[in-house]
Amino acid sequence: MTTPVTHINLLQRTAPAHSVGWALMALLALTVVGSGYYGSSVRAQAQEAMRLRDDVAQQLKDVQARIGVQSGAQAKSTQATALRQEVDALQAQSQAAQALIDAVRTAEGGRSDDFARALTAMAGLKEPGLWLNSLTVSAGGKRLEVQGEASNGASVLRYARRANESLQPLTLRLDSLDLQPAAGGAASGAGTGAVSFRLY
Amino acid sequence: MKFGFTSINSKGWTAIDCSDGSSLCAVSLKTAVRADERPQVLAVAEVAGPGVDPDAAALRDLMAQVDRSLPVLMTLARTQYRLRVMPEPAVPQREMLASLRWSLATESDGPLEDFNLAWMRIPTEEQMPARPRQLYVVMAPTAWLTARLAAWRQTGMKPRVVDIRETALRNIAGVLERPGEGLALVSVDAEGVGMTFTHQGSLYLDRYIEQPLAELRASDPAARVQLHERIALQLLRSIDVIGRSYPFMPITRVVVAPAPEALGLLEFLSAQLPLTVEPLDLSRVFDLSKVPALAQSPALQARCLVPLGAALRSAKVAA
Repeated sequence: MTTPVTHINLLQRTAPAHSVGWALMALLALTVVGSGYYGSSVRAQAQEAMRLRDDVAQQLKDVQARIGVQSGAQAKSTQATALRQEVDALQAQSQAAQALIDAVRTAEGGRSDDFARALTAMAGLKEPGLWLNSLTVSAGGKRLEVQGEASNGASVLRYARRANESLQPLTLRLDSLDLQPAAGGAASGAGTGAVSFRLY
Repeated sequence: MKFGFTSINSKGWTAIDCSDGSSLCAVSLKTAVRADERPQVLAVAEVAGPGVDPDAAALRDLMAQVDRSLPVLMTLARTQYRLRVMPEPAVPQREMLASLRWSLATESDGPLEDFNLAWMRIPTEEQMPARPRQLYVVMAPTAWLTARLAAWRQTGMKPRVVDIRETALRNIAGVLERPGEGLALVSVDAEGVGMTFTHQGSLYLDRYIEQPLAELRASDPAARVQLHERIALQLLRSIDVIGRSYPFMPITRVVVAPAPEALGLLEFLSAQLPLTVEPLDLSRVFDLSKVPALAQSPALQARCLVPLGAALRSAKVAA
């Protein structure tokens, strides 16, 4: 076994000071390279963060838009619900009215038009101190009877005269009057002239 | 010899030697060759001028003559660095330089921050595990080296390696080694005589006798004999040191490289030493077919020995 021959070269760097200098240069170079790499990494992370921020902002806008749409739909839904409830309520009233009409039609043998016209004519009459208790149309709309109470007899007479004027187009006429002191009005009408009446 | 360390280049090198002499030398060596081939010398050039501090014109002239496509390797002049043996600090390899710098600083008066350091082990851990480990440490002044690099770069050269002469000669000696032996390579240059002792391609001992060639050239024969005796004595002492310190690598051969001038050293050593002394045949190590001038000139071979050895650093060759 032979020992390898050593070849010398005096150009080789040998001074420790130079080694330290080169080491510092190498460290500086590594620092610069590392800083550049780290800086690029930081920039990349910053750009990624900015992109993420923009994405989140866009998502937030989308969510807000969807919330707005849903709020509008909800509001519309609320209005629809209210309308539905109103419709339901009106339906109930309509059904009640229809039931009343049916009942009247049944009671009057299908002559609800005569009753309506008579009622309309009587409803337009207003006489202070006089109120009606019942209104009856019978005989196929040929006969009308009204019962009520009044604070005095003069009011009943004025009401009878005006009712006949209103009923004249309907070829109806109230030409009979029963007038008597109000029976239940003793407490409230005694000494005041209150009367109950029946016009037919 | 095999080089176990992975090199920063596998094609080859253009090695430039900045010696202390009066010339610059460069070689281009192709080391990417087949296993049964030798590294090929592609080009060789020598220009006059101060080797330690060459001017830009000389460098450009030198580079114009070699292969500029190969990476450039520089070898320093011997006076521009210090090579010493130290105990190996018991620290991890990655902390070796800092530990050596600290150890050297405790022995030196001045700060060692201004030196470029390099080190290589003297391997003994396999053969002598109990022996304290030692290593070679090379120190080159940082300021000088930085200034030189700047000057070289202004001429269009960008050295990738700065090496030293001892390791360059070690590479050649390592190629010449036979299995298990220790080898002594004696080389002569303009400033002196070097001795390189290797085993398994590693450097174990280095000696250098300063003796300017110009003085030797001017001396009388008696003075030349004195120099030869001095070289022989130093060689024997070194071999004795090797025998006592590293008994696992007996020096049985001495190889004498080509000299710039015929000094008679090879003949003297062959006659005086009780060892086998052989001349270095560069053509056994390198393919010189493309550089006949180098193949035919011992003086040029002597001048180019260091850059050629330095350029072997990425080669896997066996002589």
